[in-house]
Amino acid sequence: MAVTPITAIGTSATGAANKAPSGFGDAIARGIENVSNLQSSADSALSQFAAGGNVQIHEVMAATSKATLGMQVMVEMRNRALEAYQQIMNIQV
Amino acid sequence: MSGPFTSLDIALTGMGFAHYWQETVSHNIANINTVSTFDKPFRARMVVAQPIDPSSASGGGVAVAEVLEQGGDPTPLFQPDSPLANADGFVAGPVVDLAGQMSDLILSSRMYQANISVHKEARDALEAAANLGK
Repeated sequence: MAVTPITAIGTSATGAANKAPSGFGDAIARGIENVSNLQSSADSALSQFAAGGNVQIHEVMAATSKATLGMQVMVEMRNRALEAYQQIMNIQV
Repeated sequence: MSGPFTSLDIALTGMGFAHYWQETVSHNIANINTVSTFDKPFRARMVVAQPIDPSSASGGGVAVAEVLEQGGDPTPLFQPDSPLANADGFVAGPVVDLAGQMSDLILSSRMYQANISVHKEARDALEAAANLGK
């Protein structure tokens, strides 16, 4: 019986690059990107405020609370995914 | 377009408007003793509110449409020694209604607080949603 060798990620013939973005992995990746964007906008608002720029304090706090919320949702998603994975790993065979 | 943070963003526009309004009131009260010549008296600035994107179902918040100056004649003040005085010895007092400005001050700070409450409630709701099924 021939064993097909494991190809490196992204180099397989079916390539992840030309695959339409779908599925859980892509959704998670997009979610992480959104959270990252929220955090960077909160970061820039904060540094602009600290530098005495034309930013009001409520704008800074709103940006940071958005980033906090995004992070919370992402951590919850990770917890659920990990929970599902652990339940599968605990199946007796 | 409506996203998960739309209500937070709308509340933020309200806070921004209230903040701007409070700045204007502060400017008007700061100039309560500003005298000038009759051709250019100090006039209280008034903020005009305008809804953002009223065609969308939930709307988009509030914005400052324009800043107008209060009309009416300035109070003549007899200050013959002032270099700004006219031939009869009068200078133009500011066109500011202090009592009205004080009520605007209360209104603007209450508006700010109200929008902070909306923001907090929306945030609490989103937090509760993030913990759904826990």
